[in-house]
Amino acid sequence: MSHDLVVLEDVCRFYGEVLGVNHINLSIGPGITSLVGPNGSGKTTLLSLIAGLIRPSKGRISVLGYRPDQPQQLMRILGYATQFDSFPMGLTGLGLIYSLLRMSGYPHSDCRKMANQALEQVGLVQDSHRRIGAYSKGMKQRLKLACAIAHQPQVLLLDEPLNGLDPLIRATIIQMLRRLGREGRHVIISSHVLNEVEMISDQVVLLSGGYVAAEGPIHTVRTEIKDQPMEFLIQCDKPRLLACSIFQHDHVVEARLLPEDQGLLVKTRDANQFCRTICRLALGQVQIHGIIPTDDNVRSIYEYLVGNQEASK
Amino acid sequence: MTGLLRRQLWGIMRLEIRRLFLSRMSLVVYLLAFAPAILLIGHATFETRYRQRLRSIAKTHKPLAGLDQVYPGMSMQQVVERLGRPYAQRFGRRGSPTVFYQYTDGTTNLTVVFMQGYVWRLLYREPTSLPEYLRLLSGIFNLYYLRLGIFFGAVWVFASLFRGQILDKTIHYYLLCPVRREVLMAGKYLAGLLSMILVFDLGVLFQWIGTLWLFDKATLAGYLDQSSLRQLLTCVAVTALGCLGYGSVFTAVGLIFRNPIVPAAAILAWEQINPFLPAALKPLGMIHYLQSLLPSSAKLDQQIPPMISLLIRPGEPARPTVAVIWIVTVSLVLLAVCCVLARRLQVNYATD
Ligand SMILES: Nc1ncnc2c1ncn2[C@@H]1O[C@H](COP(=O)(O)OP(=O)(O)OP(=O)(O)O)[C@@H](O)[C@H]1O
Ligand SMILES: [Mg+2]
Repeated sequence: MSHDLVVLEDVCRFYGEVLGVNHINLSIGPGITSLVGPNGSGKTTLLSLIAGLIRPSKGRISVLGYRPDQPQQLMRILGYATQFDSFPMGLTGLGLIYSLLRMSGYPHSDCRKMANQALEQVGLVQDSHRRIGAYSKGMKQRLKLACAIAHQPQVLLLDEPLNGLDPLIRATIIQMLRRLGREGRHVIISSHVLNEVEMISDQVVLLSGGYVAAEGPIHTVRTEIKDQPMEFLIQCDKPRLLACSIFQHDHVVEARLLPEDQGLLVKTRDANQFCRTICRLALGQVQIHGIIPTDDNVRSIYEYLVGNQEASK
Repeated sequence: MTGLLRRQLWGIMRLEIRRLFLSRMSLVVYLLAFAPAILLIGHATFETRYRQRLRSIAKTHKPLAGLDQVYPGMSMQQVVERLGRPYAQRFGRRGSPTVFYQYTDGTTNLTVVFMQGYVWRLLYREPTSLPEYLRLLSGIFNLYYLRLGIFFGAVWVFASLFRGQILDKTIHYYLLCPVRREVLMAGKYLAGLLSMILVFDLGVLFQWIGTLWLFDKATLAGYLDQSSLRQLLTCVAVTALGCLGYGSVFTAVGLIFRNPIVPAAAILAWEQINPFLPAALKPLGMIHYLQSLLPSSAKLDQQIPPMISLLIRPGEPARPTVAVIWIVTVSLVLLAVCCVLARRLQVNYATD
């Protein structure tokens, strides 16, 4: 077991019949790693598995050599800001962090100091004596962050930490995360917007439907995805003719006729150029009834994640 | 115990005790614990006023003879000759031939009911004596406190130790602390136990205070011997044991069941039918042992209807040591089960 890696080996987690994550193999080193994927892709599930809040149905997890089922050791080096916006009742911001540190067994004087430090880092010192119930969404978000970093953990799991933050606060938080990353801590952030985290991430893990779709440094992931062909199903009156003419274009890597006039399957490396080609052909002798992107692949997720800017370039 | 463990336990307990005492839900527990005390204190207030009133009436309308000097069949005139004019006089409903005369000697109140001018009935209202009150206290403890008050209090407090926090989605804050789940469990249980014992034992004390308050020092000195003191101490101890036993039961229930109401109702039913069970089944449960520890059950018998005395008296009481050992052992076993369950606990709010 490696002592400076978060390692997941063939980890699966099912919620009854529902798939949470499946066959996850990851080794996460120090620095900032982003888990990116659309809603329901398994980001929260993965983070909770690492923190030991849920157990894997299969597979093994080790966090810097510690097992998630030993909270008394693991939680000393791990902080987790969850996606839940609930807080124990009747406490102030300071009171909550103080109480949690007391519960962890730190002596009274240390608790106060550490709690104040954490609140300072997220810019909540002024509101630290107010009841949490009266906090705004962004303040709650920052308080969760403060709870997670209060004991200065080596591994930091943050579930959508930038949600609901205004640009100014967002910038400070990002700065803080960068600093933590530079200090050699393992910062794992989840997000469903790639743009939001790609600037600060050393690594990204693209999740889709419970699987790891791609992982690595952001530029590697990008090219990896760019090179992957996209697939379309074209329904038209003369599929053979269309196949012939379309295959002359460089960006088309494969064209396959489906039996019984179901249409033509085309794989292309450049979706935009492909669309232009089809448009031109449609104006000519072929009548096109429909173009359906059939891929459920990384590329479509990726385009979803980065929004329309990339796709429309 | 190492320093770290102690600090962690205390850290959990202070947060939990705070949660238990401050939450709006705990109003129910206060109500369960203090309802009898409130009723008794209310009664005592009323009774004190009433007695004062009788005393002041007796000063102005002192009967000429003892209140036991009148008999049924005497005429109205004979009664007035014996006792003097009543301090109050009332007539029956229009057309009815009854007349009520009230006399008091300062402590006892006598209502003489005349029918057609002759004494028909004599209604004496004497102040309740201390021993009777002590019997009342033990009856309340046995029938209400032990069987319902502590039971429902434990359901409320202990079943929500984990379940309540799962429902309001805050348990993960606890689970993310570097604390063994067993320690977390122990801290939560101890916090629940201390709060319950505090509240319910205060309830017992207030019941006694509300009652003894009615009597002057001399009467108290005469009656409050060792045995009644032992009765109080037993109530206090049995309350604590009840909290301990039912506490472990419902901590487990709260960890196992999504909705603790149904199992709680089943357990309640089982405990309630305990007196009617065959002797072999009686020992399966808490109430049998808790009742075995109460000393006064035998003394109660004479005036109590058989159904109720059946409820109060355990068929074949267990020996006190056996009872205590049973309750403590069962609790420890259940708590061990709770530790295993707490270890397995997952944060999966969506499905809860
Ligand atoms: N408690 C649960 N019970 C049943 N299914 C669940 C549960 N939690 C998650 N799932 C399922 O597991 C899959 C992954 O969910 P997860 O919450 O990990 O996604 P996510 O990437 O965090 O999504 P989001 O961006 O909305 O937070 C989803 O299909 C979801 O329906
Ligand atoms: Mg999520």
